Amino acid sequence: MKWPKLYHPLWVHLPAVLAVAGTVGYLRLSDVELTRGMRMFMLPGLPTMPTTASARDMVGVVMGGLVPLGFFSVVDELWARQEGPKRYNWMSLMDEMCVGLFVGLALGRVAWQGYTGPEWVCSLGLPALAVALLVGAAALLELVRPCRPLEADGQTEVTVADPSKLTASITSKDRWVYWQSQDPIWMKVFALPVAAFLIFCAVVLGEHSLYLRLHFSAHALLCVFIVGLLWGMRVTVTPEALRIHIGMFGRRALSLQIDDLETVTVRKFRPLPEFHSFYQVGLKRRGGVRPYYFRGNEAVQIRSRDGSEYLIGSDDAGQLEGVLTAAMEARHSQDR
Amino acid sequence: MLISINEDDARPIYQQIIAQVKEQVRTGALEPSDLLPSVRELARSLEINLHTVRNAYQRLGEQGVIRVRLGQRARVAEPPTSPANRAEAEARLTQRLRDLATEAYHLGVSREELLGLIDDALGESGGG
Repeated sequence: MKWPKLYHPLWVHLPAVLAVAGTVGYLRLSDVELTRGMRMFMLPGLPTMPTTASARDMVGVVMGGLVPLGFFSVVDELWARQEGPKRYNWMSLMDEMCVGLFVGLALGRVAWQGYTGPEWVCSLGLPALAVALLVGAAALLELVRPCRPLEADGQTEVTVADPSKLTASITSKDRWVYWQSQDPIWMKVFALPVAAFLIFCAVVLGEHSLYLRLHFSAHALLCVFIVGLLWGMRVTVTPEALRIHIGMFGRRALSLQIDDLETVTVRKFRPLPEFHSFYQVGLKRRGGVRPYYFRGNEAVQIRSRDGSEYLIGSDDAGQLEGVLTAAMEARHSQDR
Repeated sequence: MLISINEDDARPIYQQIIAQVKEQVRTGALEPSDLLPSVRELARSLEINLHTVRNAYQRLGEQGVIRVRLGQRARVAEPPTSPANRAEAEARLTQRLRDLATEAYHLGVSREELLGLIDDALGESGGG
């Protein structure tokens, strides 16, 4: 499998990685048993729910910091891919905030054992200190990170491969279908662990409470349903129509008759600046264009006879444009 | 992926589908891991029987052109680096080439012209 080129350097997340690794090491070595009543470290640091925890348990809490670390690394990478001139990415500090909180809370719990000073030092002071240190370090690294724009200014044309060999079989007398899909891996990477976690919660916590079982089951079902709705996009072109189906259930999002198409052009686009999202399923018009895409920055822009414009993301925009053009020509030759 | 059904073609529809998928894999229009439409989707779009498409996919799967797994969409398989059974592959190709040579003879195509056509066809997939 080819590893994709990264536009946001991973070393920006080094402080968070080192904090997780260092804290896990420290907790594993210290491994004190906290048998006394512990407290939740909630604002304003007062005892709320008495419980117990050992340093070994706290390793799990710190490892929880890897989830936001992974999540925001992907978000930062997607953000960097939209970057023209370098801009400061405040979102790149989010993982350090989360990891700092996890690390501070875990260390605070261990430090609380035998501590006689003010409560807020362990419950609020340590998390705040960890967050401040990590965010400060990450802020500096974000400042010095290089900017690698996805494309040079003015280089907005898509290199179109010659689709004539493929489209040669498109004639007015044949039955044919052209099929293309965008199957985004990021949807699965984000959604499946969330759904699995919710199902796990429903099973484990559901043992103690019917309410929790129903609560997490409902959320897991909702999560699976939403993911099912957005599970990729299929573009189908037949001699009669262009259709877009979205999601696992194949909801038809667009259907345009070939006779109604006026122009078809290939173009590059920037998902965030132009359409304000990494994916669009045609729910809203942006700048007069109704967009459909799940990844990449190449698309076919279609203008219909009634003046409506549609942008259809494609992994091979040149081929899709070639097929649509051939389909339009075949219809015209049929009419003549 | 583009699949067209030619009514004038003497081959059955499932063989037309097999030939076109293989051709697109060879020329690079379909790449390894590319998704194929579901059996139902392709059958509905081409207005043909479900079993015709299922038959084509099954045979493509048996020949190692696509990966078909239960409950998953079919994907284009990695190209073979060497024939699994060289003797069988040679026997099949030899038979096809004999048929081709016979067809060329009866169409009045010379040896040089036929070799040129084969060379052009191989050139479409980058010499492969």
